[in-house]
Amino acid sequence: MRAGHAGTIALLATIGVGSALADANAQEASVPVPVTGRMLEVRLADGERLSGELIEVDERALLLWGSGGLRRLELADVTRTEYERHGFGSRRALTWVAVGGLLSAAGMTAACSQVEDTSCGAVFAGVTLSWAIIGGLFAGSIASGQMQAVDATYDRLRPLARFPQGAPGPFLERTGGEARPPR
Amino acid sequence: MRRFDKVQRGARWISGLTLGIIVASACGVPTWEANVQPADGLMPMDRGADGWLKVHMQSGDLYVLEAWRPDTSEALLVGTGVRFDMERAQTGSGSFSIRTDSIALLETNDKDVVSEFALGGLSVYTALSAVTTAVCLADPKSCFGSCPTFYATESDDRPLAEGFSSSFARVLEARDVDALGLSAAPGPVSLVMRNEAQETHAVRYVRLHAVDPGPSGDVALTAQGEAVRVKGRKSPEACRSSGGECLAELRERDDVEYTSVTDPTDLAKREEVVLDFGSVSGPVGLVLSARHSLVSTYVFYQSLAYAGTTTGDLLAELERGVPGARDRVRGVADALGPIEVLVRTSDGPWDPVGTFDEAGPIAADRQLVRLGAFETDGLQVMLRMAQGSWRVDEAALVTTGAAVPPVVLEPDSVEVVSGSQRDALEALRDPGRHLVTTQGDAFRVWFTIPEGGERRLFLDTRGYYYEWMREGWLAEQSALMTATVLYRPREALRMMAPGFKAVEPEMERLFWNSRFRR
Repeated sequence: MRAGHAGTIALLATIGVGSALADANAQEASVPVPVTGRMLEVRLADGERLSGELIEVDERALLLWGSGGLRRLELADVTRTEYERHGFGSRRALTWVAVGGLLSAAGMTAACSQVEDTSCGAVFAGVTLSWAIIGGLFAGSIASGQMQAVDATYDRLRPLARFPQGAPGPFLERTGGEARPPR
Repeated sequence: MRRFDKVQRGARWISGLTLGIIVASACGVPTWEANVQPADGLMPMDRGADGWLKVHMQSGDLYVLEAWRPDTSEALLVGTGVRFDMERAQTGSGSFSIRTDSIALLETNDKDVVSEFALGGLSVYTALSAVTTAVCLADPKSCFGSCPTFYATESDDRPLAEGFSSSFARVLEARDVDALGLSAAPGPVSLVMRNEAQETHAVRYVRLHAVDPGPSGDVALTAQGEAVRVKGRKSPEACRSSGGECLAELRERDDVEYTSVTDPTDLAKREEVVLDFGSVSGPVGLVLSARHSLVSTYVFYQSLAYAGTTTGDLLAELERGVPGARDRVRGVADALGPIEVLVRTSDGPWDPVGTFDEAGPIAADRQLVRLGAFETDGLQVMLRMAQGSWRVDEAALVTTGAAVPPVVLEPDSVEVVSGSQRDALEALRDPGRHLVTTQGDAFRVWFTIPEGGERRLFLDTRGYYYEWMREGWLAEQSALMTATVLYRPREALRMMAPGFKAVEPEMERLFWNSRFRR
């Protein structure tokens, strides 16, 4: 494969990945709105931190589905709560910058190698570095706005739950014993 | 032509795609604010800004409806959308009739966007990076590829001058005298000479011309290398071009340059810039500061690419002095041509009075074109040149005085900044030898300004260079295009125009980013 062709493919891949990652809130389902509960990060009075999907909430407690399965937390024990506003987190941001930077660098180096002999390593390093700095700043800014604090109250948390009406019994029975994290 | 078409199509395609990314992403990352309401009465219900209604069932199932209406007579909510089970796996889509007594809650969502600036910035950066990469992949020569360049210091990024750019073969070895735009007091002064390109330079000599500016305080060089005292600098009163007003660009030498874009069908198409100088009395000249755009570089590299493996044969023809070979090799450069200078008074005919010509896109040169002696209330000067081929920084009228013989200074010493040459000074001072340099070599050349007051400095170089053929260029070898370049240069410039047009917007920036230093 000629370097030019490889570079073109790399370029198109960069654009494709960037475009896909830009749609950070895309649902696996066929509707644009979220159909599961929001991801919550909770800090308890004893310092413990938990995260998972908010399944339900009532006036006294919330039900969180995380890596340890379903866990009911008393609202009185919660000192801080943040919910995920969108899916463009640090992982997506890093993926965008890494893929964009490496493919751009590969493309520019491929172009350089058609003409230059000695300085193309610097081209690769320069393009990668510029992506790391500029792309990293933008991506970091996006990712830092992903989580938002919310009061741990029934009224504020209820719209964020998968089951704002309360989780149905069959769901609790199925997930209570051997619950798996949703993602 | 096939490659040019490909470049154009590719550029358009990439531009469209990247524009799509920007448009798709510039609105920021979408977020949703949910509002839940009891199902009592079902209506009226605010649709929410996004227009989707989530119907939470007592069973834990969920309907997400795009359109709906209550059927109160049957106690139904009728709508179309998607159904999910309690695990949120999709279990159906289409039309649904939902019994209202099985509905637990209704939910609407208001869409908001966050991080508009950051996502927009990242999208624009991605798009710019993609376009830059596309341009470089389509035409690597436009991005990476330059004659000896001279700087005041080792850390300077902007060269003061470039030497013998049009001498691309031994047989074309020539002298080049350039204004440095510097004055110096008596004592030592130095310049840094670099080879920043994939070229082999053979430098016969590097000299400084030190000229006493006299009471007028200024000296300008003619195209023939004659130093002339000038005074009474006068900026134009008006400037018109096909692109509109141009006075701000040409009034001063300030790096704000007049430039235009090339014609998409003909790189040699002429444009005209008309300057009004008002009343003029006495012998005057036009001081022009200008440099080539990258059109000439593109045409030169493209011609080498067309010649491919036959480049050596063409150069051998030149060396052997084959009749007409020199004219043929220089044909496309001559077709692009210099800046022609014409003058007229009142509404009289335009009279050609001289030309400005300086090869190379890196450093602007300042030259004097003598216009003649006038007694008029309205002197106009026209600059006629290949459209998009020049960057003109300054056009001013001066009163011309006497020619002044310069003091010619040979180098006192040479420091090797980068490279392995041990006898650089001897090579530069010996008229029978050349200092041969390759990419990355750099030298600090020292001179001594003689006693007698401050002098204006001019660089006098002589030599030639060879461009290194790149493997990637060989893919474009074309006997037909080589013949067109050699025998029908005007036609060749028309054929190269679309290819240059495709890379023109990015080429200047890429060129300046491509120079090589150790």
